[in-house]
Amino acid sequence: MMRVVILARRELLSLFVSPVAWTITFVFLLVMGVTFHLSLLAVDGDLKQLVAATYSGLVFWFMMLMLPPLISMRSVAEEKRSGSLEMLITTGISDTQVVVGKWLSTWCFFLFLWVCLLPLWSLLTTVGQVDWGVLMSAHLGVALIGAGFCASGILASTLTSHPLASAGLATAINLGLFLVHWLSFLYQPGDLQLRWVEHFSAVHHIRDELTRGIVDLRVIIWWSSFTFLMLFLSTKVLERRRW
Amino acid sequence: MKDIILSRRRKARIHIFLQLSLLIWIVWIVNVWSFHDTVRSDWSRGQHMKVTASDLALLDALPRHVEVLLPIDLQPDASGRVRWQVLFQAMRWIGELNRSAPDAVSPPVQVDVNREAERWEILRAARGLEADAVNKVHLFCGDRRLALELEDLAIIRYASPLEPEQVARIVVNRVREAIEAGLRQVVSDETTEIRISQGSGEPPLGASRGPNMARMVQDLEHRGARVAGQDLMSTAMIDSDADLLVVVAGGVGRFEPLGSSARRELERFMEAGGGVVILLPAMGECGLEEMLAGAGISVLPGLAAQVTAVPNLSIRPSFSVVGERLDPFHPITAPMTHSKFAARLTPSRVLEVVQPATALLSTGPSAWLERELSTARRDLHEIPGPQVLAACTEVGAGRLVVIGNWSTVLSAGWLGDSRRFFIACCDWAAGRDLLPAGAGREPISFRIELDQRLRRSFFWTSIFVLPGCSLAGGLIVSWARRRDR
Repeated sequence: MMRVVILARRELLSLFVSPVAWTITFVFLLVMGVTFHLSLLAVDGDLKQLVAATYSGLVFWFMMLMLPPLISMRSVAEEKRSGSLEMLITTGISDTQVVVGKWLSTWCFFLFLWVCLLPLWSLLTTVGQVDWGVLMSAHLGVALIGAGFCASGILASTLTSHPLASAGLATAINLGLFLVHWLSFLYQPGDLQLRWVEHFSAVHHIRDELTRGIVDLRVIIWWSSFTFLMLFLSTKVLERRRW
Repeated sequence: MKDIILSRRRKARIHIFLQLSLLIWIVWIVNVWSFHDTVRSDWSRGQHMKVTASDLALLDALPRHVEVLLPIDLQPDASGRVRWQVLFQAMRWIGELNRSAPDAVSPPVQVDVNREAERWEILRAARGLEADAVNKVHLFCGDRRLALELEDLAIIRYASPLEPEQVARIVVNRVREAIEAGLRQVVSDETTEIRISQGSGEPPLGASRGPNMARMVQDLEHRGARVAGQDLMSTAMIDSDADLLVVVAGGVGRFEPLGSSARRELERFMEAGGGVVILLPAMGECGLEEMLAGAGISVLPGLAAQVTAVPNLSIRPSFSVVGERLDPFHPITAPMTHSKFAARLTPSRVLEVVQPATALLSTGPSAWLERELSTARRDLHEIPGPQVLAACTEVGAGRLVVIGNWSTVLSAGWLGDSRRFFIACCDWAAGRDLLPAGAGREPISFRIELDQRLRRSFFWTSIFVLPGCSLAGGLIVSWARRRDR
């Protein structure tokens, strides 16, 4: 466990000393800031609707789909390309620890980006009241879905040694998961298939539940299990060189 | 050596395959379990979507399956958005009930009437709905049908010519209460039989043009009541299966007072447990004054008058009065006292109430009893004060409600608080559920005033300060790295 934390910390530090992290942060805050501001005007100051408008709009999903692959694309792929992965393995750290450590650092950075938006909510609390419960549940959704998308980014990164190819592959996986929601138009309300589509649909989880304050155990279980599955696959891909 | 390596590789691949299969199987089982037995909680402050033990008890007690249809056709303006919020919440709440008890309530079927015209036509034909049955929550249970209107789900205040600056907003949210009552009622086998007295001068029941009561009749029928006419004037008879008789003593023609035989029949009906709602004529007598006085409700000569704002933005005395004071303890009015109540009655008789009758609805302190009917003008001897506009009492085993105004039941006036008040009166007098029970709740407002200062500070913080901080962070790191080199 300690090795995982040390590796994650090292990864985070290397991320923050590079201009990539700061560029991503700058672009993210700028785009989300503009969205936030325009949404506030669109909902005419209704802060409850603002949560739904900010955390389920097109820009939000663009960020959710694009950021994890961009953050995670270099994590393993770059190590493989430069040959430093072998050196890392010789330190005695296991493949699982490498995968989990790199995922943890990616996820932490992803969460850091969203936490950076909290000062805007704090500013709004000085003039009105924010439904913190709804805001918390929306952020829980961001964390859960972000964990899954970061894990798929790590898997893509282990599959290739080219960061851009890794980002493309991870985006494709995330986009596939995102587009699952559109299968719901094939079914009628009450159909079992529709309920299954909703079970896997990130759009449904965020738009219809988490940004309304509804926290469902099945959302937590699905995204946790998806994350676990992706990390397990990543470990196995990394272990592939041994067999 | 090579064979050993190959056999180990083969073994490793089999192990990996087994591990993967096992993991996928575990993930699948866990998700199937959570799919069927999930736990949901509402973290929002109002907890509008929290299914309580009483909700579950209601769902368990439903004897049959209820299906739900929501045809929506709203304008994209401010009032349309507020209406959409209410209907959307109703849809979500029914969805929550469906998740808790899929056998009791089906998931709501939403139809956008404009975008899905063909689908709407098919559903409308299948369900036997009218073309204008939109923006309502339709509940179906076998052959029975019930429609909850927007006004049942919430009290909404819209911008008006008198208050143009007012933004449409939800004053009282009664979505949960209305749906609960609707579910209870739609599965019930009991039908409230309502008879509308159709005598001389009363608006015709079946007419759809001119002064008519079509909207009221439709509304009552959508609530599960069966409405029919009753020629009380000529036959002096009330159907034996009637639960409630509404006497609209006033109308489009010259109203002739009811005779003594009709009065005796009314008394017999109430003694036997029937409910009567009497809507008084603006002028003249309805022939029941003596009977009402015996029950403790006297009809005073003259009309209620009040200084009110009229649509051309002027303020002047008129016979248009607003009933705003409610008895906080009576079952009819108690659920309405939580919000600002305003039932406009034009014109209305004034009642004098003595025990055991109860004054249900009164004007504010500025209204007075105007005995000179040619014009509303307050004289010195006309002392202002709350004037009673509606009262009720129990007569024998039956119930009697008297309302000073009859035009509420006309389609043109069938809206807002006056409609709500009338249905609540019918509900109480008939002793049945016609109206959603419960007072509802005032929604918590999360709206902030977007003044120029806030807009400016928010603009700078969101677009310049926060991104600027990250830019500055990046520059500092870059400078530190260069310095270290």
